[in-house]
Amino acid sequence: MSISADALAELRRRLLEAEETLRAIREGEVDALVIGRADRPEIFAIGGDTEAFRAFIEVMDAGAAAVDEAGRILYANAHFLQLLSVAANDVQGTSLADLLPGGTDTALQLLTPIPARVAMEVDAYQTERHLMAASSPLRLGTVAGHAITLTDVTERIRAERAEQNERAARSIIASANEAVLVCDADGRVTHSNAPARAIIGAEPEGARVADLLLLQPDASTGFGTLSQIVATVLVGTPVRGIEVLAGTEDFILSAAPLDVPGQPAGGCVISLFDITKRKALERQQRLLMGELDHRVKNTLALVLSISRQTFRHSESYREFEAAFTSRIRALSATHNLLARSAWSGLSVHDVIEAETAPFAGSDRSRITMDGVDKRISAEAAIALGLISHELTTNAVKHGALSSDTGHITVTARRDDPSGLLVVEWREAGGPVVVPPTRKGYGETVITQSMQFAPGGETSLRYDPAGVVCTIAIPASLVLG
Amino acid sequence: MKMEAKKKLVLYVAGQTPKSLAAISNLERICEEHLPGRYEIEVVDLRQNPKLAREHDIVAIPTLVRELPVPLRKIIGDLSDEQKVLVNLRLQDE
Repeated sequence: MSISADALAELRRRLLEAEETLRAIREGEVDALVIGRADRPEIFAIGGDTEAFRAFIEVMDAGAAAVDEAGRILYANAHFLQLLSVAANDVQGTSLADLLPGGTDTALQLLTPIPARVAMEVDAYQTERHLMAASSPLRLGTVAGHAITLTDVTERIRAERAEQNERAARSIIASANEAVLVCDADGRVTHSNAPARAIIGAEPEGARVADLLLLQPDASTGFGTLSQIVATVLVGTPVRGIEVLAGTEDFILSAAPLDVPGQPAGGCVISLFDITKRKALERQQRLLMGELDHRVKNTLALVLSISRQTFRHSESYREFEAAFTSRIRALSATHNLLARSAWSGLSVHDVIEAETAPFAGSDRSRITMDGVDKRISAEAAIALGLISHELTTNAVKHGALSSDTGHITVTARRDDPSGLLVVEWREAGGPVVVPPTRKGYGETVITQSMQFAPGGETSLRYDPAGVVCTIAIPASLVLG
Repeated sequence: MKMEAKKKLVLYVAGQTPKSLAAISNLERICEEHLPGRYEIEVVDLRQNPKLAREHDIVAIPTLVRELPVPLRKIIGDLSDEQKVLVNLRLQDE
C-alpha cells in the first residue's frame, strides 16, 4: 500500500496540529475544549465554569474585578464600573491602568505578588469620592491574575474628617481664655468651654442663649432683647461690644455666624469678655466724682462762712487777714492729710499734730497725747482740725503755750454705751485763766464746728488752772 | 505594484473565559500594530454555537484560524507569543 504525497502532507499537517494542540494545553494557553460527538459537540471549560462565580460577584456590594497578569480586565462587576464612571460595554480586555485614576502607577501598586491596598480619589458626577482599591493574587483556571475590589470609603472619610474637625474645634474652644459658647441654628448652645461654664454656673448645652444671658438694660445697643441679637447673627450679621449680664456680673458679648465648610449655614459663635471689674471701677469713679463735687461745695461754703465770720469779728483789715489766712491754712493742713489718705479718714493724733506741731517744743514735750490713735471720718477730721486750730491759737495767745511752763494734754476715749469718741483738750501750767469778756469767732468755731453731725458737740470751760475743751464725736464718724 | 489581499482571520473563543479574552485582546493589538488595515477578524463564540467548531475542526479554545490567504493555518492558544503569531500570519505571503 502506498500513500500519495498529498495524503502524506495532510497527515503531517494533522500531526503538527495535534502536537500544537497538546503543547498549548500543556502550557496552559487554552482554557476550554470542544468535546463530545462530532454532531453534538459541547464546550468544556478547563478549571471549572466561571459563570456561577460571576453571578456571585455581580451581586456583591463592593466593586470587584478579575484581571490577568498583564492587568487586563477579565471581568468586572457593574458596581466596579459604576465607581469608576466607566460604561459597561467593551471593558473586558481593557487595561486596568486605563480605568484607574493614577493610571499605570496605581495599577503597578496593585498588581503585586502579595495583597496590596491603594487609596484613590475620583470625580463621580462632579463629587469627589474616595475609593479604596485592594488586590489579591488569584488563579482563575489556568490563568494567574489578581482579584481587585473597590470600596467607596467617602462617607467614612467624611465622618472621620468631621470628627477631626469636631475635635479640633473643641480643643480650640477649650483653649480660649475668653468664655466661648457655640449655638445651633435654633440659638441653643451646642458647645461651651470652661470659662463659659464658670460664668453660666451650669452645663449650658441645650439651653437657649437668650435664657442664659440678659441684655444690660442701661446700655443702648439698638436691640430690644438678646433673642433679637442671636437672630441677627444667625442670618449672617456679626455683632460686637454688646453689654450683657450673666447673673449679676457684666460682660461684653461679641457674636459671629458659624461658618463650617461643607455644612449648611446656621449657628453662631459667642464670646464673652468679663467687664465686672471695669464696671465696678466705673461705678466707683462716678461715686468719687459725686463725692468730690459734694466736698468742693462744702469746702467753699465753709471758706465763705469762715471769711464772713472772721471779717465780722475783726477790728481791722490786718487782723482779718492774719486770722483768715491762719484759719484757711489750718483747713488746708487737714485737707492735705486727707488727700494723702485718699479721704479715708484720719487719726485724732494726726489732726491735732498738724495744728500744734509748730508750738509743741523741740522735743514735743509741751503736748502729751493719749489714746489718740482712733480714726475719724474726713468730715469729723475737718471739724476737729478747725477746733484744734482755734484752741492752739488761743493757747499761744493767752493759755498754756503763752508761757514757758504751760503744758497741754490731749486724750481720746470711747464712751460706753453711747459709742461717742470723747476728745479732751486740757491745758495746765499756764497763766491763770480769765474768761473773755466777749465771745469771739474762735469760740464759735470751737463750740459749733462739730455740731454738723447729730450727737456731735463741744464744750469749752475756762478753768483758772487752764482751758478744758471736751469734743464729743458721734459714733457714726468714728472709724476705729 | 502588487495589491495585497486582506487576511481573513477567525478566532474561536468560549464565551468570556480568561484565555478567550486574552486572545481577543492580543490579536487586536498585534493586528493593529503590524497589519494595519490588512486584516479582517471574525470572532466565533463556540459557547453560543458549539457546532461551529466542526467547520475548522476546533479542539482547543482559543484557536485562531487564518482562512485567507490559503493554505489555512491554525494558531492554538491565547496568542501571547507575538513572534509566533506573526510568523504564522505572514507565512508565504511576504
